[in-house]
Amino acid sequence: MKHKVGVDINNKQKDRAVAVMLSREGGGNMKLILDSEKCTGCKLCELACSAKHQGVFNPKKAHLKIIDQYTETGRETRLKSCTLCLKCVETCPVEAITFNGKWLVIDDGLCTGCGDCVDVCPEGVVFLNSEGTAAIPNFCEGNPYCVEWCPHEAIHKEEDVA
Amino acid sequence: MSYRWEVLRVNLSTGSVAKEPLNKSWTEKYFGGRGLGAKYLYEELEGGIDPLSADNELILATGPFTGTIVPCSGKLAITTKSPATGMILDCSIGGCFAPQLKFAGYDMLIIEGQAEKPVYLSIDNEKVEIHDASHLWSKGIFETESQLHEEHGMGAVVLSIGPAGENLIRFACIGSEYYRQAGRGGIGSVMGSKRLKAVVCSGGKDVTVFDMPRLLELAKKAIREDVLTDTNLWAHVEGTPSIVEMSNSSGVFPTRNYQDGVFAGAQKINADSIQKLRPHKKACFACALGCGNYLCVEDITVEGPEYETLALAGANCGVDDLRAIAKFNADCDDLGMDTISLGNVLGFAMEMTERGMKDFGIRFGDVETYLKMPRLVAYRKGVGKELSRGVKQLAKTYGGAEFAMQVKGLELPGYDPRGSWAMGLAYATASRGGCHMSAWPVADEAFGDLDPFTIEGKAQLVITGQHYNAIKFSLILCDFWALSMDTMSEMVSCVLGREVPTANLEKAGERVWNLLRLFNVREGFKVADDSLPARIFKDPLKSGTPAGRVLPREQFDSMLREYYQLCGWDSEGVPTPEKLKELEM
Amino acid sequence: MVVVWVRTYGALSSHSIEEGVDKGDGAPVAFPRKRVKVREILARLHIPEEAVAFVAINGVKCTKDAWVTDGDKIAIFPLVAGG
Repeated sequence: MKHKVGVDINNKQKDRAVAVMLSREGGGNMKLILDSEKCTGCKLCELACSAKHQGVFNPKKAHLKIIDQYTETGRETRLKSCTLCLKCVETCPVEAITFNGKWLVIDDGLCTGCGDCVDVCPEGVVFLNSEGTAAIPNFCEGNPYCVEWCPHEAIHKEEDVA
Repeated sequence: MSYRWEVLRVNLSTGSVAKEPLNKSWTEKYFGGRGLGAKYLYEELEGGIDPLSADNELILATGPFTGTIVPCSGKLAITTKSPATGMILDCSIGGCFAPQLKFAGYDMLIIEGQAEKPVYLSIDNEKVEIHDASHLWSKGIFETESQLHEEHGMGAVVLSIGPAGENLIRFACIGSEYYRQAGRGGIGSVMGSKRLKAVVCSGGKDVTVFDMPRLLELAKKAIREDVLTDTNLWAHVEGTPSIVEMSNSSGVFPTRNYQDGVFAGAQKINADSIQKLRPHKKACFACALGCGNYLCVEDITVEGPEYETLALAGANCGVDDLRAIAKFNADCDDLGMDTISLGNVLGFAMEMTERGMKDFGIRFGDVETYLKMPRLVAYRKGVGKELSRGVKQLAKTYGGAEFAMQVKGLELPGYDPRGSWAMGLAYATASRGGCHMSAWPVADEAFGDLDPFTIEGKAQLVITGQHYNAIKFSLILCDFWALSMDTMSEMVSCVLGREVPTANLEKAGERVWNLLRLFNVREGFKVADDSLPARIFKDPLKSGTPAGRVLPREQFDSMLREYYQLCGWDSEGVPTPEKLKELEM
Repeated sequence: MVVVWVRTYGALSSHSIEEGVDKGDGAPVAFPRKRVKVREILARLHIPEEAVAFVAINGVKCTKDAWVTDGDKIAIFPLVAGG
């Protein structure tokens, strides 16, 4: 009896993975870095993000999250933001989200508002906007607003060039 | 715009949870926070109620700036009637509870009545529930928060009381995010009397403003050019401990129960001694400064100590051991007690013991006994039972009223009025008793160029400060951003979408101030209560710039008379009908 | 010559061109005369007078016209809003 090895990958998934691999090879890998010693936990970055992209103030509608809290053992300060893991790209059933080599792009026309990308994002920085389509982080196309707003220069962007 | 137009009203006697519209015409006159809370309390309470009874209310109020990117707008105003003074009491607490309440969809939370058994309130957007809190009752604030985070998620923000509030201590506080407090006047005991252990809040709704692009422009510019400037950056660089050297150098640092204004141990508890520990700065929501000093002193971890703690629980107790003060601070934060009042009470107890008037078992500089005090007082054990009554009551029983450093039952904070005469007037006329948050003229006198030892122009100085803070704490902005009224006007106009000229804000500040006064007048407070402890009038300071000085009684009385005149109040300190008409009250 | 120890607080140290004035005991600053006024020390350190709340000599508040002598410890405090 022949044992099954590995998992079943259908053709569509195969195409997707190849496309992702090719686009990664072409471009840089942008990310946000937090200096947790400088960060005061003020959340001005989250407010700036939701204000710029959604026109409202709502930390739950920001593409970054500053975790800065006290626990019984001490203080934890860290950042959750897009790591370009591309899980949303791979998951989107209508291929509305693509990676252009530097950041994510969404075709609002294709997006059905299914929310799969929201659920799959490991950082929790994808959400549905007021129109019911997905709001995808894109580092403000190279000039992150959060970096501009941070009063203590605790957050900055880094770009690996391939 | 910005406002939710929704008040959440919870009655703990009946268990009812209701939502009602926010009074729009009141917001036009009082805006939010301190002013709006005072208006609701004034209208809903009758004079003469027992603050620890079901008749009292706790009003948690946000303002139009709450939840927006206006810098330094993250604070919450909690208003109630004080069990320590019997006056109106509003406290300002930082952290991020106020924004969460706004994001959850409410401008204000009003808590009425009294639960039969310990409960806590949870707010998750529209979902508001009263829960059994028997598993939390008797726990400290730290453990309570930790437990509630487990039950409601780390993103939920908690306000809670500790054993001091449960035991109705006269100076119990409400805590949040471990180390922030609504500190004074026994506000924690109002919550304790209602058997309300905590309020937990999570919110996820949008806050909108009228002109978002303009507000972003104004706020960004303000942060760069008006917040992160020399005038305010002391808060970020060193935090309030920078005031230790300022007070000590100008001779107003309360030392050994206000026996002097210069403390030999000041260098051991100053900003440097704290900076050496390399604190990790902590900010409230939307604050560009970040004044909190999160640090470790040997084995003690705490966000603090703040200036007031270093003053009242340090110099005032003759303690110059930073680790001891940090431990005292952390214990008070966990037990839920005001370090200003407790430090002041201990200073009094130490002087009484050393004079042989009453042996409370503690002397100046006795660190070992001092460290036992927070627990003894919070649980009313041993000598703590007496000390928990506060300094005014202690003096009534044991004598020493001349050096019981309190006004109207609220223990005095960290600035000696003998070295800053206008500060004496500020203490005597503050709306919640001996308080430094109504007006802070020590900045102009002891820490500035104005002659501290004259009454000339001081009444007006105090009034201007009181009106400024009254409107500032209604919009809700933090004390530490010294912005102009013009800037406030620009921002509030942009948020609300209607012109609110500076003159309107100035009038609103005066209106709020008069409303606070009316509440206290209704409770029976009069000119005789606007006074200071005899020590200030009679015992000269010994050291530093104000050596040999008192605040002479006749000068104080003169200053007070001028104050009433300029306020448009009668000789009993009651706002006249003409003044109230002018303020459209 | 006068050598004084200057210590600046808050954000004032960002103005001064002298190293170390914002830490610990401060740093020594020398003047080629027998005595100097507080005002001159501010000028030398490029600290604008409007940013200064007050100055203390050897732990006691003084005016900006006060004279300072060799070995004095000067503390320069920024404006403070509240506390």
